[in-house]
Amino acid sequence: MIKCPNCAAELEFDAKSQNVECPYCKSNFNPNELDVKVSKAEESNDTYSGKSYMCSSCGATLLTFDETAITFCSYCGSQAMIESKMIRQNAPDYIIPFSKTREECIESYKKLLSKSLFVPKYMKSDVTLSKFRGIYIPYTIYKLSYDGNCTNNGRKYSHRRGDYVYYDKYEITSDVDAKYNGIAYDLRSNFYDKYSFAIPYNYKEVKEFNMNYLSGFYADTKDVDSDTYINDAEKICTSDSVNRLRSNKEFIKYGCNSPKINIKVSDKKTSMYPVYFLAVRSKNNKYIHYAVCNGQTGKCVADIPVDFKKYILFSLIIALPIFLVINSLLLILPKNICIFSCICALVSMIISLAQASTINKSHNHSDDLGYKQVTNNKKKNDVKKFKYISKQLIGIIVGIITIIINFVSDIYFYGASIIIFSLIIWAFRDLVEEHNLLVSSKIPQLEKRGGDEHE
Amino acid sequence: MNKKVFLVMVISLLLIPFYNIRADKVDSSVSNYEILIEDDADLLTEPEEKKLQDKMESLAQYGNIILKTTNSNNMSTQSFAKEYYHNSFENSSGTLFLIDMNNRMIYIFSDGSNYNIITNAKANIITDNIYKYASRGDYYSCAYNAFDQINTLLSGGKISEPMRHISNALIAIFIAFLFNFILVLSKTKIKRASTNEVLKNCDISFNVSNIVGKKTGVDRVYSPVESSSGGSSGGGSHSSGGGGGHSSGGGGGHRF
Repeated sequence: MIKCPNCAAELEFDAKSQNVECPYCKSNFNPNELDVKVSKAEESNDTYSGKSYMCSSCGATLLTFDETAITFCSYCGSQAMIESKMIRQNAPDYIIPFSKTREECIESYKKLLSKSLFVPKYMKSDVTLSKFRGIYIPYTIYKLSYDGNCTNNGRKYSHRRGDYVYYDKYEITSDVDAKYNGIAYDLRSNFYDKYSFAIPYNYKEVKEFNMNYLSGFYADTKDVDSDTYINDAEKICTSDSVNRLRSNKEFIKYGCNSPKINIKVSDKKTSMYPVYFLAVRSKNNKYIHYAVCNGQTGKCVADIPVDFKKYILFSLIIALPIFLVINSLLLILPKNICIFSCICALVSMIISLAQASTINKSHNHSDDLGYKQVTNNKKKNDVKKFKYISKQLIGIIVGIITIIINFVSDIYFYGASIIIFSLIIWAFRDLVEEHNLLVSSKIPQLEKRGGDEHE
Repeated sequence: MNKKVFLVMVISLLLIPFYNIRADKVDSSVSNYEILIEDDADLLTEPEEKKLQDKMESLAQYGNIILKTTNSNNMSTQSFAKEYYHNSFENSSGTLFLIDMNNRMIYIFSDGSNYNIITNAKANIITDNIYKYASRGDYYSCAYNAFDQINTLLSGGKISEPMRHISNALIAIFIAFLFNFILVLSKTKIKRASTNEVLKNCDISFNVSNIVGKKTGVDRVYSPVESSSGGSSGGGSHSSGGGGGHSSGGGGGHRF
């Protein structure tokens, strides 16, 4: 805890002024010049300590650096936070301090929600917004490099003689000195990659770690190995290097279209990056929607569920002009309406199946290296695809039977079409439900409890 | 959302087609057209034919008006109607109502200015509305209602198409639902930052020097030169003419 040198109150880091301020005597100090007076037993240059709170529901641990108690978990929304003792952590090498205030983050979140027409009210209620919390998340920063000779092959058109084309082959040697510093990945499994990958940080603004930047905020602890993302970082940098070589004039001159170079991680550092984090439980309390805002740039991404009632209302409003256009331009014969309705059911079924696959991939975190490393990806609870396509399937069967029998009376075709379309529209409720599953995560569970108590 | 509001919206959507929409009207200044009833299949009694003739008289101001029944047709109903009309009246304005017992199909064929109103779509709608009389063997009611609805259209009125409107309303709702769903998908997807965005925020230095290209050999690839004959653009065949066949007019029908 950092005390004000003038009045001994707790200081807080102010994102706007980039200083630590005393909320009581209004003194402010440069965080790098303020001397943290703590006993040697408590701190050393390599460590920092904070009061830890553990969530008894999901096991997440958050550190706080003042007297404020943590009343809810930022990852699962549970209010069962247990205060633990002071814990000491290895100090990271760098930190990007919060430069966006909580209010700016909320504005960014509201702006994001305003683009979606069907957002449920509870996603933007004052109670929800009040749960945004500024947390420093541990990141690993890779430095990648290649320094040395690089040999590639090229082939360039030379001339034609008769039915043969002649190409000159070249061996291109060059000295390449490539350095990429600042490719960063979060080291917290609960902070899923799909969010962290969407809010990149500007490495050029990192500062030497100083605990003063943490005052007034929370910090998370790492649980993912810092080597986890090496392959991903190498892939990104290698791809960039290949592009740079390919566009080099000399390489073009010698016809080297696919140069090869392997950029490797040469060093890694740890850092704390600022995130405003929000977790909102779904109405059935089974899933959780996250919103994260980059505390440096203000970029916000969020799981945005759909309110089905709003969805119906907007759809009917749009349906009116569509109906008038169809009615004035088209005359679809009864049998063709039946065929068309079957095609619509098929389209709806394909969308449903695609959604179900994406949900399974998302909920099992198949692409999340950090999550997989911590949980070993042992448990798979796939959604049942048939549940979401049964209505369309019934519709298609009804339609096909009607078409095959080829009734003389139109009423059968109209009747079948009305049944099929009604089933499709009913199935849209499932599609929206699927979408809401897609933009949510299962509520994280404490591994040692075993089983998923929310299922 | 209030359930009543939702209900009102659905009902409004379904009722819109029944609101009066003005249709075009045929110029009725010319009235030297023929009325013709040929009941070759002997489906109508004489009093029925008389009543139908009375009904058809009001239509003669717009064009020729023909009722034809047949049980000796070996062509498609559509071809028969077209050929019969053009053989009898060439391209002059008029409407033929045909009951084809061989194909068990009713068909309305129109030409000239009548065809501007009794389009293929309208012919299909009328036959959709009346085929059930033919199915029951009530050919008089079938023909009477056909001419009644033709008269309604030609005099600027609108005929009822309830089932079609319900189907169109459902199609419109489906399209609206789909459109909004695509909107939802496009607006709510969390996208990974692009490689460019990631690298833009990193410290990057990239230097290539001492580039030397050394020729190591020659590749010879067989690639025959394609002949450039090109060909002419055709022999200038004529497609006009065709023996004076009639191609105007059209209609629609329904099995019964």
